[in-house]
Amino acid sequence: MTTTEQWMNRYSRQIILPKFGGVGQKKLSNGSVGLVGTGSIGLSFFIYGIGSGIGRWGILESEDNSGNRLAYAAKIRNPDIKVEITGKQQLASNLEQWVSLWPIVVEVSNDLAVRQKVAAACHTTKTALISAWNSEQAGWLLHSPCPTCLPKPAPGIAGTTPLDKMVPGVLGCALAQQVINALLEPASSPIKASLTAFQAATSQFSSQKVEKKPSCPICKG
Amino acid sequence: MKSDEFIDITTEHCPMTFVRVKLKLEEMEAGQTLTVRLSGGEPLENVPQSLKDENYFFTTPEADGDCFKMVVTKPKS
Repeated sequence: MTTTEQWMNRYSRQIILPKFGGVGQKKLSNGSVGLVGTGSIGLSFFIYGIGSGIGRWGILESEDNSGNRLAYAAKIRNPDIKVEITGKQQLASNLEQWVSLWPIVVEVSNDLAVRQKVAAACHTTKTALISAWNSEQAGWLLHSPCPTCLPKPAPGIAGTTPLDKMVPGVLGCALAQQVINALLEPASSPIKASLTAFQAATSQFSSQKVEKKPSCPICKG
Repeated sequence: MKSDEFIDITTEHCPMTFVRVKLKLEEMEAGQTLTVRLSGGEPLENVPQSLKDENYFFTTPEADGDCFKMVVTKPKS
């Protein structure tokens, strides 16, 4: 890509950071991410992501067709961003083809069946995957293509409680930072299998390693 | 001392002062030198500090008319 005055002005506060520079900012502008789920977490992640300048987004449309709303938000906030909306029928037809278009897929559908389908497709295509979900007072980030390897019962995974807006905001921000790290330095920031929990009551994060299970139908350990 | 490249940031304001210097240095080869012409006040305070934070070698800014001039060397590694 060629740098313009508008590009320099828009990202000047990031370009001055030691980790970014013009080289890093170009990596983000040329970078891409696939997004499954356009609820509170997806929206928060998307807003931080387009603000940072991640250049190309693939959104797998959800039941409420809110992907177009995000594409419109991107057009208003940052016209450099390209958003490609894919119909939800892709979930049933050729999900593997769709996930393989992206170096990283972020899944925030809040639907266990969708999560497992996306995880299986990412595992088959060796695509990096981060999933996130939340309950009222806590949120989880899973770095692994395999939600079925989680300890049972999977923490919060079937939560259907009304969503507190603060927790999805925190998760979206954390997701954006992790995707930015991975796009800037893919070799030194590999997405390792782990589960990170955020507790709203204490405002603290904690992480645990996820052991793969030989009995897992997706990754087979 | 004759340097390889020159940039005048006297009409710029923070953070574009350092952005322009940084982008110029990124385009240059290791070991090359860049003469930076900058204004007093905020640029004179912040640009050398930012270059120091990123481990660039540079000369102490010297008065150049009503502005200042410094030479930055892009490190080899």
